[in-house]
Amino acid sequence: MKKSKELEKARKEINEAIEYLKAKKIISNNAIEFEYNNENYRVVIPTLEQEMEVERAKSEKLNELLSETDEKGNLIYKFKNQWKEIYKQRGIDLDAYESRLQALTIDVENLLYKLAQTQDRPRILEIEKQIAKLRDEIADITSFLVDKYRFSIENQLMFFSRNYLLSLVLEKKKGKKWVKVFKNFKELSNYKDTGLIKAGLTYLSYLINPEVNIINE
Amino acid sequence: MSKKLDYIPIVKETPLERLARSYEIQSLYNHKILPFRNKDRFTYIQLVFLNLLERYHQLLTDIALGEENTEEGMEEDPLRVEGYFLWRNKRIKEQGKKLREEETNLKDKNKDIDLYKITFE
Repeated sequence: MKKSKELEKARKEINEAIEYLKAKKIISNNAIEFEYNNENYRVVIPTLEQEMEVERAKSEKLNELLSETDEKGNLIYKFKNQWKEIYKQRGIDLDAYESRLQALTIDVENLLYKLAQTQDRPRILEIEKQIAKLRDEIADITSFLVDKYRFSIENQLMFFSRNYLLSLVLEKKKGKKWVKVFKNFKELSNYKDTGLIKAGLTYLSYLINPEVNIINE
Repeated sequence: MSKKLDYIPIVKETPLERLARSYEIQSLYNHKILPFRNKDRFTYIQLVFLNLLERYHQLLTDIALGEENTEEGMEEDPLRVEGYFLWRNKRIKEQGKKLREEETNLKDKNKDIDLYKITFE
């Protein structure tokens, strides 16, 4: 029993050390290297030109989304506010959820303020439990809202621009050289190994502000 | 990175927070050395890290100075760190406001002084 506890402790410490080193590596440069399927890849911070290219592509994509209509001539894709109205008609008030989020954030701040002013151990743990509980609720509501806005034009554009940017900055090591993985965005769109795209997107979010906050956009 | 806290915080710190408060990184930061290979065009995570570096630098200084609401080891508890800066920033704001009010009162008190100013030509 004692041995298994020691083993568990050692495993935890090793994991913490790995995470520590991983964090150190990620912050060490503006090009982040990672391994995928025993090959070395990296994402490189985009140049201004690349960022401008993404903006141009985004604008074209917006036009494309706005021109797609159904048989009756209605727009297929809708903005967040339009989704809000649709859900309201279905009896789901997304504004109420957003207000709840704001109220919870204020509650957390008040608790943090109290926490700062105590050194009493049981009190500290009690307040921290309350904060953790409220933050769990915040996470639940946030993911509920993200899900409701999933098909919004804003979300589609964000998804598109992140993928487009990845097609520009993802590189693979071949010998001593780094070469681009995709010639263009189309190549990324048709790429079958989604695992690599997902890994690339994760590392890309370390490079640029992901601004995934589609709720308050 | 020896543990100084005598309790286990409810929320675990992130690897980035642990790195930012580490003796190794804080020592470099004290000598104005950043653990980055690039000198410019910082990434998003590097900017977040810079913010954390300064935050822990400030906290460790405050702890060493025995500032109000600090104690050794609290840097290992991320929620207490967050709470401390919330409280600290609010206090700085309140102190600033109080100081501005005092200055305004002093100006109001002395506003008639100009009447007695003599200009020599």
